[in-house]
Amino acid sequence: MNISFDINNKKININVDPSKRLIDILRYDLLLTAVKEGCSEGECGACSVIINNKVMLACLIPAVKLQDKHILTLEGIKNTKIFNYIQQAFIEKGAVQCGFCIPGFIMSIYVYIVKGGDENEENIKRALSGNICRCTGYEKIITAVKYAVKLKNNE
Amino acid sequence: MNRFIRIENTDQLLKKLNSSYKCKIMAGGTDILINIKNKTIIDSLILDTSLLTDKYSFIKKKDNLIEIGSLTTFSEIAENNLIKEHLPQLKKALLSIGSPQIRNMATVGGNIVNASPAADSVVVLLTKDAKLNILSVNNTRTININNFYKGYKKLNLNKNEFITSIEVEINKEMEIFDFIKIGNRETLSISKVSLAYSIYKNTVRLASGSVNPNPSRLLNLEKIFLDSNLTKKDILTTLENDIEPIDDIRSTAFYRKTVLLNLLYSLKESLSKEDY
Repeated sequence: MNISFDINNKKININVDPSKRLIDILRYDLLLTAVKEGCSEGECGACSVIINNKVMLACLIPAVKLQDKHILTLEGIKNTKIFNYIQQAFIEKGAVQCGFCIPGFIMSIYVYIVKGGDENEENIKRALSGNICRCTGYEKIITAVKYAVKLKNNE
Repeated sequence: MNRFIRIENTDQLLKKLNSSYKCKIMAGGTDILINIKNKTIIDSLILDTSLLTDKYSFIKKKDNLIEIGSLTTFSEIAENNLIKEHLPQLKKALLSIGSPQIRNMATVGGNIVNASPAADSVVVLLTKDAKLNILSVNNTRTININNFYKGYKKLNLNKNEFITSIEVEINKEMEIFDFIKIGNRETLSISKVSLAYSIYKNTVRLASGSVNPNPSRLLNLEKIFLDSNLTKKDILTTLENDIEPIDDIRSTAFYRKTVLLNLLYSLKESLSKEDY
């Protein structure tokens, strides 16, 4: 099946099996390996990507659904100001442990901040509730999000 | 082998459903993809409805009814101002399902048709006597969601039919309502037991999830729930005629029955305090 969609702001057209999962297209066809495969059933958030401005799970989306969609992975936001605030905050607050869950977390955090998310801890927790960190480093991640919001608000 | 096709318009959808193929409609895909992975869906024609989203994703109010398109996602419903104002218990139920990511994908039509015994949105819709608008090649019909389930994953839905929208009467002034879910944690947890209620004047509607093969009303208990001398024991005796909970990976029959009894008893007590 021929499918056209935007990936990280580039229009592409691929010929692909309509049942192929977005995560496999991203990782193996397009070599966008920031997207991680964790549980493969929609519970861990490691494969989170942004589709039409919303965070969704690349392990539960078959190719047939991708026509005309705008998809962003971590690779596609890395030159944005907001990503750089998040990155700076994660480094300064030591929010990364093993790192496997982090690209997924950053997708959720990016959308949270783009949509005007504040430093309120409950709001941050809710926004990140679909991302699981098995190093259980949540406290530092939340601290980093608050700091990233502050950096953005001070710009 | 399953085969996936992208549906271009309603006509094509209805024709495929009416054909001899074994079809499965894919809305958000959050349940179907798991079922395909677990091989509980095999050798089917998977009909993807992404391109029908514009047509079947909407929320409108007409008089005292809110109509929700079947392909509207949980997030879209929960963030909608009409829902926040007129059906906050539906918003609460939807926000208790899955995670933000899942809610951005999953649809209310999907939750209804997937027919999980725990389906949280369904438990609320049962207490509102929601109507399902159903379309097929040669017919349209409307049925009360209370007549839609006939057992575990058994639906009053023909092979060639598609649910287009759900109509829900808005909450009345003085209506008492809520949705309560008991799960292991706040996010990504499936109900061990849930309760929704809608009480208005002398009409009591109680519904529960995860205590029967499908989400269901507690019809026997509804009849006596406003009796002034109702005891906890009376509630239990009647409840036992309304539910058949089982032991499974999430909980036990005993826990489910006990917790539901306690939820109902607290509701009853709070009503007595309000002189209901």
